[in-house]
Amino acid sequence: MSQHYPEDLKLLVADICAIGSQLHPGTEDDLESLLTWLNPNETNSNHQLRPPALRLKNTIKVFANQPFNSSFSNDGNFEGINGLEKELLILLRQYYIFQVRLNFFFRFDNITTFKDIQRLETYYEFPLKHVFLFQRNAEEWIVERNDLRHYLLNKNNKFKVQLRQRLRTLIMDDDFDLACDVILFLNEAQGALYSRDILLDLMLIKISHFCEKHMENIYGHHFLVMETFNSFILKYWSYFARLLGCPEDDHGLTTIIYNCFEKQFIKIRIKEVFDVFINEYPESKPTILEMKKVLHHTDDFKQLVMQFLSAFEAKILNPSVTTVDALLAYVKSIKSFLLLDPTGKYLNSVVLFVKAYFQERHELVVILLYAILDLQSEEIFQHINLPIDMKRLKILAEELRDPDFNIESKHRAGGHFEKGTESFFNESSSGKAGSDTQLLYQGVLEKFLTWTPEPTDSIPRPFNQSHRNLLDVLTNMFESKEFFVSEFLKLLRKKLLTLKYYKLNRNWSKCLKLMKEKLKNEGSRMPNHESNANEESANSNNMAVMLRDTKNSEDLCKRMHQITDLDPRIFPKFISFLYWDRKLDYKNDTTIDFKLTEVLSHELEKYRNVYKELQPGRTLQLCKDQGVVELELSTRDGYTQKYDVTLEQATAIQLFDGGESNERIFLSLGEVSIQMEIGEERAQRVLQFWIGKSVLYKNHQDLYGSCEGREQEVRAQHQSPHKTSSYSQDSLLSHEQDEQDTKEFSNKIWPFIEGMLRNLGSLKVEKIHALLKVTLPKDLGYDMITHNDLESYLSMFVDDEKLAVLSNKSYKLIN
Amino acid sequence: MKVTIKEVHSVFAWSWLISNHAKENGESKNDVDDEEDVCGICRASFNATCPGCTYPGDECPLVVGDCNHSFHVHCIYRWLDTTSSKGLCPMCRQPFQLKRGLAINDSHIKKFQDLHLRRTQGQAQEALAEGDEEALGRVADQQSHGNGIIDEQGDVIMEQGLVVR
Ligand SMILES: [Zn+2]
Ligand SMILES: [Zn+2]
Ligand SMILES: [Zn+2]
Repeated sequence: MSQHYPEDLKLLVADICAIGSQLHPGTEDDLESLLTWLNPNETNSNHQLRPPALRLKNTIKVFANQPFNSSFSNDGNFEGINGLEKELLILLRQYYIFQVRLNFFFRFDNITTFKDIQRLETYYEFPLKHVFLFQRNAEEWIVERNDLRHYLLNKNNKFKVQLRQRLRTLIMDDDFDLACDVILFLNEAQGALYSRDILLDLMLIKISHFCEKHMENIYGHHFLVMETFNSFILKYWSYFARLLGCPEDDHGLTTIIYNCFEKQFIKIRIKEVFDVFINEYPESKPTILEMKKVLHHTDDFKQLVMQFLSAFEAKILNPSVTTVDALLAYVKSIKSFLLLDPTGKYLNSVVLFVKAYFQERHELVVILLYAILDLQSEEIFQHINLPIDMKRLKILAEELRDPDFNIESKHRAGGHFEKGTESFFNESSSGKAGSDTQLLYQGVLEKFLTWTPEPTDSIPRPFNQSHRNLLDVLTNMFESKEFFVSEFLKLLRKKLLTLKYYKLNRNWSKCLKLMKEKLKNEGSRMPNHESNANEESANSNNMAVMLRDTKNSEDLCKRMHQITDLDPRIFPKFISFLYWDRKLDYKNDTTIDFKLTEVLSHELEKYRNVYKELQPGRTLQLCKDQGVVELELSTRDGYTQKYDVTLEQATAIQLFDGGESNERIFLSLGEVSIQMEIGEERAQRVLQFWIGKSVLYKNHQDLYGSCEGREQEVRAQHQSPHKTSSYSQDSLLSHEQDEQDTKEFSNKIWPFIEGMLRNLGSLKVEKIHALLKVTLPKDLGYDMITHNDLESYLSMFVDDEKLAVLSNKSYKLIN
Repeated sequence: MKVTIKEVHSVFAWSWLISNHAKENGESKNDVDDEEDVCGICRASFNATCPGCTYPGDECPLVVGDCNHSFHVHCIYRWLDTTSSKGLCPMCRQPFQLKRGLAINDSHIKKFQDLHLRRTQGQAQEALAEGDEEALGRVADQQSHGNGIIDEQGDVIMEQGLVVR
C-alpha cells in the first residue's frame, strides 16, 4: 500500500519510524500498526470506528499519549516532554493530516450531502479520541477540518446545492435543531455560503409561506399584518435569533422582518385584488382599509391596478356577464377603490378603462336608472325587452344605497342645495315618518345633476374632494349629463306611454319633481354652455309637458267618462306629440299603421270626436304603436288568462275571437295580414308573439288557431323544454322554406351557444336566451327570436346530439 | 276562444287643425311647404308653444286671422301691440282681424278689440299733436276698420274700401 503514497509521505513515514526506533527501540512493528490504525485510507485495516485493542492501546500510550499523561500529572506543564517526543508528535500530526487530506480528496466528488460530510468528519475524528495527536494544538485540527469544509463548500457545487436545499427543508419543516448543525457547519467553514445570507433568504421564504397561510382569503381582520407578524415572531423568532446569532431584541432586524410582512401582505392582496374588491366586498372592507395603510408606493398601486384590470377584463367585461352583474361588479370596484384611495387617482384609470366597454352596453343607463329609482317589479322592462334578473338588480339598488358612500343623504354631502329644493326635501321627509326619510334617487339625482363632465381633451384630474363619490364615478360612464338626462326622459316617456291610468308611483313622481327643479336651475346657471343649456331646458320643458299632458288627460278622461255614449273601458291619453319625441304623420309608415277591429276602431273614433268638440280647433290621431290593452282570453275548457298587450297584438288576437259561441277560428298568415292591413312579415311577428304565449299555434295546413284543446299538451310542453320540439317544429318548421331558414339560423347561432356552454358549463334556456340576446351580433336578428323559438332550436341541437338536457332542464354540451 | 277587452289605455296625439286656405289662395311659395305648421312670427310649430310658454295647447292657443293666417295667440298679440305692426298681418300685410265664427277665436276677441282700440287711439293722439291731417285720416280709416271688428252686430260693410299700404 505504501508504494502508492507520494514521496513526501514516504519520507514522513520514514522520519516517524526513525524517531520511533530511537525513542523505543524494537517497537517498529507496533508503530507501523499504529500508523495503519490511524490511516483513514486503510479502510480494511484501520480503526473502523472501533476502539484500539490492548496492544495498540499500549503503543498509543507509549508513542502519543504518554507525554501528556505524565505532563498532566505535572501541573499541566509540558516542559517535561523531551525534544524527540515532541518531534514525533509533530510528525504524527503531519502524517494524520496528510492521510486525512488524501482521503478527503479521494472521496471529494462523492461527498454530496450534509450527512456525507458529517459521517466523514466523525470518521476522521474517531481516532483522535484515542490518540491525542491534537491535544496540545486543538486549533490545528479544527483549522484543518474547517479548511476542508471551506474547500468542500467552494469547490463541490453539488454539495453546496444539496446543503442549501437541506437547510431549506429543515427550516421549512421547523427542524431548527438540525438546522442549527448545518448553520454551525457553515459558520465554521466560512466558505462560499454565508449562513446569514442563506438564513435571511430562508426566513423570507418562511415568512412568505407563513403569510400565504395566514393571510390568503382572510379579509375580515383589521390588523392582519401585525397579527401575522406577532404569531410568526412568537413561534419562530427565538430560533432564528439563535441561528442568526443575534439577540432576540434586535429591533433593527425585527423591523425589517415586519416590513417583509407588509410586503408579503401587499403581494398577496394584489394577487387577490379581484376577490378582495369584488367577490368578497363588503366583507373585505377591513382588509382594504389595511391595504390603504400599507400601500404607499406608486409601483404597488400600479401593479394592483394592472392586476385588477386584467382580472376585471377577463371576468367581467365579457359578454356572458349580464349588464346588471357587470354594473354590480363595477359599483363594488368603485367603492373598493375609493376606500383604498380616496383621492380617486387610481380609480380614474379603472374608469377610463371600463368606460368604453360600458358605453357599448346600451341598456346600461336604463339599468342604472332602474336601480337608482329603485323601481321594483315595475313593468317597464317588458317593454324594453331586456332580460333582467330582478334579484340582482335589487342587490345593485341596495349597493347603490350604501351610506358609506354618501349618496343617500344630501344633507351630509354638504349644503349645496338650492333653497327651493331644500323645502321640497323637507316636505318629502316630513311626509313620511320614521327613518325612511330619504329615497335614494333624491341624493343620487342631486349628485348627477351637479355633476360636471370632465373636459374630454384633458388628462383625468383627481377627484375633487367634494365630488368624490360613487355616483360621480358612475355618471362618468356616460358621455355627458345630457345623455343621462335624455335617457331618463326616454324611460319616463316609456313609462308614461305604457302607464295604466294616470298616476305615477311615489318614486317616479318625486324623482321627476326633483329632476325638473334641477334642470331648471342648471339651465339658467350655465350661460357658457349655450347648447347644453338649450338642451337641458328643452329636456326640462319636455318633461313638464309630458307630465302636464298626463294630468290633463286624466281630467279630460273623467269628463269623457261622464258621456254615456263613450266606452268607459277606454282610458285615453292625449299627448302633445312634439314633446314626446314623436312624429305626427305615420300614416305611410307600414311599421306602425294597421287596421283596428271595427268595434275598437269605432269606440276610439267616438273619443276622437268628443275630443274635437271639447277642444275646438284641434284634432286627434291614435298612436297605434302606443298604449296598453288589457284583455282576457277564455277558452272553451274554462281556462282564463289576462294579458297586457299592445294594440297591434290585441287586434291580432281579436281576429281569433270566437265570440259568444266560443268558436275556434283558423286563419292563414295571409288572412291575418289582409285583415290587419299589414305585411306578412309583420303579421308573422305578431302571431309569433301569441304563439310564444302558447295562445296560438300553427297547424299542418299553415293555419293559425287558438291552442285550446291543445292546452294540456301545450302546457306540458311548455314546462319541459326538451319535449317542445314536436310542437315548436310544428309551428316553425312546417314550411320547407322555413326549415331551410331554421337550419341556416341554427348554424349561425350554434357557435355562440357552443362557446357559451363551453365556458359556462350547463345553462338553462332562460339564461341562454338572455345571453344570446346581448352577445349575438345585431345583424343576426336574434331579437326576433322568442324564448320558445330558442327552445326549439335547442331541442334540434339535442336531436343532433350536440347538446344534452340535464335533469334540471339545463343544457350542456355533449363531449 | 273568447277575447274580451278589459281596458284600453290608448294614446292619442293631438294637433291643431290648421286651415290651408291661405295657401290655396296661392300665397304660399313652394319652398315654404315644409313650414306649413310653423307660426309665421316665432317660427315654432303651432303644435309647440310660442317662446314665452311652456305648455302647448290650452295655454298657448292659436288664432286664425281673416286672411286665414294662423299664429300663436301670444305671438300675434305681441306683434300687433307694436307700433311697427300698424295692425297688419305679418304674413300678408292685410289688416289683421280674427276670423269670425271660429270657436278657437271666440275667447280672444275681446282682447284683440281692446288692443286695436288702444293702438288707434294712440295713433290719433300722435297725429293730432303733429297736426298731420293725412295721418289722422289714416287713423280714422283704421278706427272704422277696428269698429268693423268691434261691431257685434257684424257690420261688415265697413270692411269694404279699406285700403292699407
Ligand atoms: Zn308663434
Ligand atoms: Zn304662448
Ligand atoms: Zn295674413
